[in-house]
Amino acid sequence: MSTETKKTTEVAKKKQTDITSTVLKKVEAFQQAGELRLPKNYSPENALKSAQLMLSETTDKNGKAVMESCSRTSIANALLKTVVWGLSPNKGQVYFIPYAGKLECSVSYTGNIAIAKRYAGLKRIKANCVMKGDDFEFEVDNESGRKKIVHHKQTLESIGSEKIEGAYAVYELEDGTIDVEIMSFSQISKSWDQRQGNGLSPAHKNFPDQMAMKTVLNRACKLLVRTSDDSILYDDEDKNIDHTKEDVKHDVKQNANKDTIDIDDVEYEEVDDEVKSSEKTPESKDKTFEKPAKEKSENQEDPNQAKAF
Amino acid sequence: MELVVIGSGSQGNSYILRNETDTLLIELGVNFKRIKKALNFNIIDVDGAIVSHIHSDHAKSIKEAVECGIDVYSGAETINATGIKSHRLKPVESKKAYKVGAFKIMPFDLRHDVPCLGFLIKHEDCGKVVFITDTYYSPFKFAGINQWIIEANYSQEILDGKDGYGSSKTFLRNRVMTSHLSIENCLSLLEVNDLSQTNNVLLTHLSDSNSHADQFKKLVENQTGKNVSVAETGLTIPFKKRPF
Repeated sequence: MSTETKKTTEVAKKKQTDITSTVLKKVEAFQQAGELRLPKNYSPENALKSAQLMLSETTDKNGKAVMESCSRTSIANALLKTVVWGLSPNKGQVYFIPYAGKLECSVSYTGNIAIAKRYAGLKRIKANCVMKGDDFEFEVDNESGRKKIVHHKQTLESIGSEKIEGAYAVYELEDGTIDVEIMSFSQISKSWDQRQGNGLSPAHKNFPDQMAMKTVLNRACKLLVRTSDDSILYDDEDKNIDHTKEDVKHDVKQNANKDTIDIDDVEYEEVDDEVKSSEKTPESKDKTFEKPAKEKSENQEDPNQAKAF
Repeated sequence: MELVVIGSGSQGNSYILRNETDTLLIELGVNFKRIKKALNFNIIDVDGAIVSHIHSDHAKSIKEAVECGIDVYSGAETINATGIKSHRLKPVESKKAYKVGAFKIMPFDLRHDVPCLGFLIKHEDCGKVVFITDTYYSPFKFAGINQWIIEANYSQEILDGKDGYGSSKTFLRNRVMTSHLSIENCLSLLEVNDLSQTNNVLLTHLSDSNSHADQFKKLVENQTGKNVSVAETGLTIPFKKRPF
């Protein structure tokens, strides 16, 4: 490790410890003032430790450590949100997304279930997918307005159809109420379109049934949490952030139209001939444009080696 | 000196900067037959061609140009990506200046999804020209530019209205935003530069669906008070250092 890299890593580590201890102090101050009551079995120290470990390995889109590229305030806020919601990063209940020089804390579906259980009286919840060929019927109760699954019969054949028609989550609250959240596949698709990123992820493409169940679980839990007494804790979680636009804005603000260059300041250079140039930059050639070809040739070499042995 | 637009936009980009004695080709992204025709088949008069990046709407005729004996200047990554071996391919580096006939050229790095260069061009007849395309912002400002050839690909407003965040075209929208210059960022680049020497602003590479030529022209005219044109095939504009 070069001295410079070592120095940067040390700085990042120090910043990390500083931020986590600041957040911990703040949490303690909230608790002492009676402004924050954390669940009995929840340790903010452990959550912050695991967040710290996770953040030390998280990089932004440019491959830079988020502890360096994201603002201190945004990191502190993301950590504070994690603790205030009583979530554990090491259980996959939250994940951290860097964008536009800021760190955002996003709650996963397991995190949403944990919050709903803690704050909204959720006792149990179970999701299922409705596949093409399933015998599925539901009705709305005239008096309560609650939906109810009348029956749902699946066969191996219908599961194997791999065509999702919808998904539902049945849940029971502490007070005995049983309710169900139902979404058609077109509603699920629309919700996926709101996702950040470039189209559907490999997970959405390969395991759409699992992802559809997550979607309906999230919807059910969010509704419960928002109507609970602690809904204030949860205010801005669901806002849709246009990460790309924010990233572009941030990049432009940071890097655009900076140094002035003038053609009069520079003397002529002799142009290297083509052969010399390709000798000079074989690495950039492979990296930039011929990566697939290179990987292919490496793969082809492996079986030959195996034969030789 | 005059600038001739052979093509501008995602269908292909190519421009000629020429006077009676000197000719520089800017981009080779259209069918080579069209380039030859626009040159009145005077290929021998071409001092060289500069190419920003490897995408075919900027580079598709490199092979034919080289075969016709035209020296093509571009970044080493772009030259390697063509797969062509020729002494006519001249790799150039950012912020270094090179002599191409009576032209002095100086490439600089831009921000596209592949390595891409912008160019400063100087000739006594047209003065200093800056050529910027396929980038979502310019890292640099420029001193004493007489002529601007600058991308104004899309309007954020049109893009947001049509393919708003979360629409099914999110992928395309995100790609446009991270690889092309919006009219908004084009205007801010012009705003922070000293335009006292500027005669012409030529807006190029307008998207078919996310731009509005008349509106873009007006916006730039209102802000700069300069002679503003929108590049379209066949357009020829005088590029003189001194307009009168």
